[in-house]
Amino acid sequence: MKKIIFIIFLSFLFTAGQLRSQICCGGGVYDIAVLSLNKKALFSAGYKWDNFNGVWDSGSEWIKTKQTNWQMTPSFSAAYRFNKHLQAGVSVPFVINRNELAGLPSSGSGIGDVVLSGRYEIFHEYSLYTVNKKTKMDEKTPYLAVTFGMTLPTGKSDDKADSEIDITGKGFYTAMLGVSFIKTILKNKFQFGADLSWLHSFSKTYDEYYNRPLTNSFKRQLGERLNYALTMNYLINMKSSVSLAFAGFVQGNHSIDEKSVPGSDENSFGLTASYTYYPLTYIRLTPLVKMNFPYSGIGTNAPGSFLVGINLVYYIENLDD
Amino acid sequence: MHINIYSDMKKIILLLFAAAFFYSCNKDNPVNTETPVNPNYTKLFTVDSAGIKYEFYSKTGAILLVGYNEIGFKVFLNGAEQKTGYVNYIPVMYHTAGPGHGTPVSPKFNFNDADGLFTGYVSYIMLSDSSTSFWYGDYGYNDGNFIRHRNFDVVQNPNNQMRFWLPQGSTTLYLLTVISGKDAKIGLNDFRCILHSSDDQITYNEVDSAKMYIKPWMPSHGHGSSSNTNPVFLGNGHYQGKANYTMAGEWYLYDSIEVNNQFITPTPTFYFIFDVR
Repeated sequence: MKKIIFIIFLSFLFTAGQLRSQICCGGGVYDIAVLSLNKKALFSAGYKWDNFNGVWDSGSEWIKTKQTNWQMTPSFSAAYRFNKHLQAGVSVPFVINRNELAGLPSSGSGIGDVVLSGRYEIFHEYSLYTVNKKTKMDEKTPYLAVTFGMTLPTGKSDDKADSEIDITGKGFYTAMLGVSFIKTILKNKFQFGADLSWLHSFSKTYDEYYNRPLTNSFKRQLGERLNYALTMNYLINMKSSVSLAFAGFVQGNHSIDEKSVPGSDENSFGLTASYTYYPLTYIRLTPLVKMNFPYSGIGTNAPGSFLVGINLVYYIENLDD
Repeated sequence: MHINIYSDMKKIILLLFAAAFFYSCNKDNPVNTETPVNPNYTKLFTVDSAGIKYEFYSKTGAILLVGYNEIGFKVFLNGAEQKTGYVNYIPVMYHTAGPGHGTPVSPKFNFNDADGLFTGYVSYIMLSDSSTSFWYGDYGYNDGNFIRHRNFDVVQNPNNQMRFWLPQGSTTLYLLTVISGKDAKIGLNDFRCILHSSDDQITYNEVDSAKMYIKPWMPSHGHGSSSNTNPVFLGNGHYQGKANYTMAGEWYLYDSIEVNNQFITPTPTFYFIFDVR
C-alpha cells in the first residue's frame, strides 16, 4: 500500500509542477505541494533556474534570444491534509531576474505571486473495501481528484515596477479549476497520469505604468487558459524513481478595455524529466530538467526556456488513517 | 664635321623628348582640386546643360527609395567645382491623371566639408512607374543656374514608414517619416523621425516646435515597456528619442504629437510597426 501511495504521490508532484512551469512574462515557476494519503503535512524548499533562450512570435516563428536572460526562483511551500479527501497547500516564490541589455538595468528581485492550491480527491487507487465481511483491494479504479487554486498578485507587476527587470508577478488574481487522473499500468513499476486545468485571470485596471501615471487608464485581462500534462512515472526501486512529462498550455486572446485583441492567443509545450530520491521516508530530493523545443511552429506568442531545478521536501506522517 | 652633325641631332632629339615628356605629364596628372566624396555616398546620376553640371549622390543606397533618403550634390560651373553657397532641389511628381505634387525635401543643401557634397534629405512620398506617375527634378545653385524637369525613378521601400494625417478641423496636412529604428533590436533603439506640414501638398515645411510622446506596445502580448525616451527636437524638423523593445516580435510604436500646446494627432494616435529581432 505504501508503495502505491508513494507512486501516486510522485506522479502528483511532477505533473503539478509541470503544470505551473509554463507561466511566462514574470512570475516564474512554482512547485505545488501535494500530499500522499500517509502524509499529514509537508514543507518544501525549491530552486529553479529558467534560462530564456527564445520566443515564438505571433506567426509561431522561433526567434532565438541573443542576450543573457534568466530567472532564478527559490521557493518555499507547505501543504496540509485535512482528511482522506481534502488537502491544501501554499507556495511562496522569491524571484530573481537577470537580463543583460545595453543601457537598461540588468537585475532585479522580489517576492513573487503567492499560489494557494487545493485538491479534493474523489477516488484513490488501490482502496480497500469490504464485500461479505471480506476486505478487498480495488485494483480498477484510478485516482481522480478535482484541483483548485488561486494565484495572488503579491509580486511586483508592470504597473508598479520601475522596469521590466523588477517584475516578479502578474499583477492580477488568477483562479484555477482542474482534474487530476492517475492510473497504474504496471503495479509498483509504471503509471500514467493526466492533468487538465482551466485558469481564469481577473481583469486589472492600469492607472499607472512602470511607476508613471497614465493620462488614460486602461483595463487588461488575459484570455482563458487551459493547462495540460501527460506524465509517465517509473519506479526504479523503493528509494528512487524517474518521471517524464509532456505539458503545455493554450490560451485565448487577451482583451484591452474589454475588446479582444486578435492574434494574441498563446500556446507552447515542453518536456520535463526528473529523478526523485528518498534517502529517508520523510525526505525527498528531486532534481529536474525542463525544456522547450526551439523550433518554429510549436509555440505562439510565448517564451521558450531551458530550466533546471531541485526540490527538497520534508514530510510529517499522517497518523490518522 | 660628320660627328658634330650627329651630336647636334642627339641634343635636339633629347630636348624634344624631354619637352614631350613634361608636356604629357602635365596633361595626364593635373593637380586634383576636386573635393573627395564621403565613400558612404553613391553617385546615382548627372544632369548637365550649358556648362552647368549637377552630380546626384545618395547615402541611402544605389537607388532612390520611397521614404527618407540622405542625398548630396556636386556642382560644377564651367568645369569648376563649387564649394560654397547652396543647392536648390525641387522634386515634383506628375500624374497622367490628376494633379501633381511635391514631396518633403531640404529647403537648401549646404556644402558639407566632411562629406565633400552639398548635403540634405528628401522624403519621396510615392514611387514612380512607367505609365502613370513620374518624378521630375529641378536643380539650382544659389537660386540660379537651373536645370529643370529632369526625370528620375523612385522605387518601393519595404522598410519605409510614413504617416499622413489631417488634424480634426484643419486643412493642414501633416507627415511623419521614420528615419532610423527600422532594423529594430531587442532593447533600447534610437528612434529618429522628421515631421512636415503642408497646406497645398506642393511644398512641405519642416515642423520645428513639436513635442512628441512615444509608447511602444506589443499587441500580441498586451504589454508595453519602460525606459523609453520621448523624441526631442534636433533641428530642421528632425526629432530623436529611444524606444525599448523588451522582446522579439512585432511591436507598435505610438507617437502622439503636440504643436503649439495642441495635440495634432488623433486619439488614439497612429503607430509605426517594427519587427524586432
